[in-house]
Amino acid sequence: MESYGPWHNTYLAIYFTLTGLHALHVICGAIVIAFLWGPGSKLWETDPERFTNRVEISGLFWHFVDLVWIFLFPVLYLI
Amino acid sequence: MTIEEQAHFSEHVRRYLYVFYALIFGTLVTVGASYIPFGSHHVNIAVALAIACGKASLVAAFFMHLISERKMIYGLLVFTVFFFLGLMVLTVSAFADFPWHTVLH
Repeated sequence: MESYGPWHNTYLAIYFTLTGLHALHVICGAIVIAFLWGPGSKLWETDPERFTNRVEISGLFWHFVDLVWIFLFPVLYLI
Repeated sequence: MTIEEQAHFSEHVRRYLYVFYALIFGTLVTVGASYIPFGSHHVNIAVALAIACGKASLVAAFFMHLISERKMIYGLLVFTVFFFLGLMVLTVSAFADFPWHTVLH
Protein backbone atom coordinates (compact mmCIF):
# COMPACT_ATOMS: atom_id res chain seq x y z
CA MET A 1 0.00 0.00 0.00
CA GLU A 2 2.97 2.32 0.58
CA SER A 3 3.69 2.62 -3.13
CA TYR A 4 0.19 3.88 -3.97
CA GLY A 5 -0.06 6.99 -1.82
CA PRO A 6 0.17 10.58 -3.11
CA TRP A 7 3.75 10.73 -1.78
CA HIS A 8 4.96 8.00 -4.11
CA ASN A 9 5.23 9.94 -7.38
CA THR A 10 3.98 13.03 -9.23
CA TYR A 11 1.15 11.29 -11.07
CA LEU A 12 -0.31 9.85 -7.85
CA ALA A 13 0.05 13.20 -6.11
CA ILE A 14 -1.97 14.89 -8.86
CA TYR A 15 -4.47 12.02 -8.98
CA PHE A 16 -5.23 12.16 -5.27
CA THR A 17 -5.39 15.97 -5.29
CA LEU A 18 -7.87 15.99 -8.17
CA THR A 19 -10.11 13.20 -6.92
CA GLY A 20 -9.87 14.26 -3.27
CA LEU A 21 -10.79 17.90 -3.96
CA HIS A 22 -13.56 16.81 -6.30
CA ALA A 23 -14.96 14.43 -3.68
CA LEU A 24 -14.91 17.22 -1.08
CA HIS A 25 -16.85 19.48 -3.43
CA VAL A 26 -19.38 16.72 -4.14
CA ILE A 27 -19.90 16.06 -0.43
CA CYS A 28 -20.38 19.77 0.35
CA GLY A 29 -22.81 20.12 -2.57
CA ALA A 30 -24.73 17.07 -1.39
CA ILE A 31 -24.98 18.52 2.12
CA VAL A 32 -26.32 21.82 0.79
CA ILE A 33 -28.88 20.08 -1.43
CA ALA A 34 -29.93 17.82 1.44
CA PHE A 35 -30.39 20.89 3.64
CA LEU A 36 -32.53 22.65 1.02
CA TRP A 37 -34.58 19.49 0.57
CA GLY A 38 -35.13 19.05 4.31
CA PRO A 39 -34.98 21.79 6.95
CA GLY A 40 -34.32 24.58 4.43
CA SER A 41 -37.51 23.97 2.49
CA LYS A 42 -39.47 25.94 5.08
CA LEU A 43 -38.26 29.10 3.33
CA TRP A 44 -40.64 28.27 0.46
CA GLU A 45 -43.56 29.25 2.72
CA THR A 46 -42.16 32.60 3.86
CA ASP A 47 -40.08 33.81 0.86
CA PRO A 48 -40.46 31.61 -2.24
CA GLU A 49 -38.27 33.82 -4.42
CA ARG A 50 -35.27 33.54 -2.09
CA PHE A 51 -35.80 29.82 -1.83
CA THR A 52 -35.96 29.48 -5.61
CA ASN A 53 -32.70 31.40 -5.94
CA ARG A 54 -31.02 29.12 -3.40
CA VAL A 55 -32.19 26.01 -5.26
CA GLU A 56 -31.01 27.50 -8.55
CA ILE A 57 -27.54 28.33 -7.20
CA SER A 58 -27.14 24.92 -5.55
CA GLY A 59 -28.12 23.28 -8.82
CA LEU A 60 -25.55 25.38 -10.68
CA PHE A 61 -22.82 24.36 -8.24
CA TRP A 62 -23.83 20.72 -8.55
CA HIS A 63 -23.62 20.89 -12.36
CA PHE A 64 -20.20 22.55 -12.12
CA VAL A 65 -18.98 19.64 -9.99
CA ASP A 66 -20.56 17.23 -12.48
CA LEU A 67 -18.82 19.02 -15.38
CA VAL A 68 -15.44 18.55 -13.71
CA TRP A 69 -16.16 14.85 -13.30
CA ILE A 70 -17.10 14.50 -16.98
CA PHE A 71 -13.47 15.38 -17.76
CA LEU A 72 -11.83 13.81 -14.71
CA PHE A 73 -13.30 10.33 -15.22
CA PRO A 74 -12.07 9.70 -18.79
CA VAL A 75 -8.68 11.35 -18.16
CA LEU A 76 -7.92 9.46 -14.95
CA TYR A 77 -9.66 6.14 -15.55
CA LEU A 78 -10.15 5.55 -19.27
CA ILE A 79 -7.25 7.13 -21.12
CA MET B 1 -49.96 25.84 -10.27
CA THR B 2 -52.27 26.15 -13.27
CA ILE B 3 -52.57 23.53 -15.98
CA GLU B 4 -50.63 25.77 -18.40
CA GLU B 5 -47.78 26.24 -15.89
CA GLN B 6 -47.67 22.51 -15.23
CA ALA B 7 -47.47 21.75 -18.96
CA HIS B 8 -44.75 24.40 -19.37
CA PHE B 9 -42.64 22.85 -16.60
CA SER B 10 -43.08 19.31 -17.95
CA GLU B 11 -41.60 20.61 -21.22
CA HIS B 12 -38.49 21.71 -19.34
CA VAL B 13 -38.29 18.46 -17.39
CA ARG B 14 -38.62 16.44 -20.59
CA ARG B 15 -35.73 18.40 -22.12
CA TYR B 16 -33.56 17.74 -19.05
CA LEU B 17 -34.43 14.05 -19.26
CA TYR B 18 -33.34 13.90 -22.91
CA VAL B 19 -30.05 15.62 -22.03
CA PHE B 20 -29.56 13.10 -19.23
CA TYR B 21 -30.12 10.18 -21.63
CA ALA B 22 -27.63 11.78 -24.04
CA LEU B 23 -25.08 12.05 -21.21
CA ILE B 24 -25.53 8.39 -20.26
CA PHE B 25 -25.12 7.43 -23.92
CA GLY B 26 -21.99 9.61 -24.09
CA THR B 27 -20.53 7.84 -21.06
CA LEU B 28 -21.15 4.42 -22.61
CA VAL B 29 -19.57 5.57 -25.88
CA THR B 30 -16.54 6.94 -23.99
CA VAL B 31 -16.01 3.65 -22.14
CA GLY B 32 -16.50 1.66 -25.34
CA ALA B 33 -14.16 3.88 -27.34
CA SER B 34 -11.44 3.46 -24.71
CA TYR B 35 -11.27 -0.23 -25.64
CA ILE B 36 -10.96 0.34 -29.40
CA PRO B 37 -7.30 0.27 -30.49
CA PHE B 38 -7.01 3.29 -32.77
CA GLY B 39 -3.36 2.62 -33.48
CA SER B 40 -1.88 5.70 -31.86
CA HIS B 41 -2.55 6.28 -28.17
CA HIS B 42 -3.02 9.96 -28.89
CA VAL B 43 -6.11 9.20 -31.00
CA ASN B 44 -7.75 7.49 -28.02
CA ILE B 45 -7.07 10.57 -25.91
CA ALA B 46 -8.46 12.86 -28.60
CA VAL B 47 -11.62 10.76 -29.02
CA ALA B 48 -12.31 10.56 -25.27
CA LEU B 49 -11.76 14.30 -24.83
CA ALA B 50 -13.94 15.13 -27.83
CA ILE B 51 -16.82 13.10 -26.39
CA ALA B 52 -16.22 14.71 -22.99
CA CYS B 53 -16.36 18.18 -24.57
CA GLY B 54 -19.66 17.27 -26.22
CA LYS B 55 -21.11 16.09 -22.92
CA ALA B 56 -19.76 19.11 -21.10
CA SER B 57 -21.36 21.50 -23.58
CA LEU B 58 -24.70 19.70 -23.10
CA VAL B 59 -24.47 20.12 -19.33
CA ALA B 60 -23.38 23.74 -19.65
CA ALA B 61 -25.97 24.68 -22.26
CA PHE B 62 -29.05 23.00 -20.79
CA PHE B 63 -28.51 22.15 -17.13
CA MET B 64 -26.70 25.42 -16.44
CA HIS B 65 -29.00 27.39 -18.77
CA LEU B 66 -26.04 28.81 -20.69
CA ILE B 67 -27.98 28.60 -23.94
CA SER B 68 -30.09 31.50 -22.73
CA GLU B 69 -27.29 33.70 -21.31
CA ARG B 70 -25.54 36.96 -22.27
CA LYS B 71 -22.47 36.94 -24.56
CA MET B 72 -20.18 38.29 -21.80
CA ILE B 73 -20.83 35.23 -19.68
CA TYR B 74 -19.51 33.00 -22.49
CA GLY B 75 -16.31 35.06 -22.59
CA LEU B 76 -15.69 34.63 -18.85
CA LEU B 77 -16.27 30.89 -19.12
CA VAL B 78 -13.85 30.49 -22.05
CA PHE B 79 -11.22 31.97 -19.71
CA THR B 80 -12.04 29.32 -17.11
CA VAL B 81 -12.01 26.51 -19.66
CA PHE B 82 -8.54 27.54 -20.82
CA PHE B 83 -7.05 27.08 -17.35
CA PHE B 84 -8.98 23.88 -16.75
CA LEU B 85 -7.48 22.46 -19.93
CA GLY B 86 -4.07 23.34 -18.54
CA LEU B 87 -4.83 21.34 -15.41
CA MET B 88 -5.76 18.29 -17.46
CA VAL B 89 -2.65 18.64 -19.63
CA LEU B 90 -0.54 18.70 -16.45
CA THR B 91 -2.08 15.44 -15.30
CA VAL B 92 -1.59 13.57 -18.57
CA SER B 93 1.91 14.96 -19.05
CA ALA B 94 2.91 13.50 -15.66
CA PHE B 95 3.25 10.21 -17.53
CA ALA B 96 6.47 11.67 -18.90
CA ASP B 97 7.96 11.23 -15.42
CA PHE B 98 8.27 7.54 -16.15
CA PRO B 99 10.39 5.84 -18.80
CA TRP B 100 8.16 4.87 -21.72
CA HIS B 101 6.36 1.53 -21.62
CA THR B 102 7.03 1.00 -17.92
CA VAL B 103 3.68 2.35 -16.67
CA LEU B 104 0.72 0.02 -16.62
CA HIS B 105 -2.49 1.63 -17.94
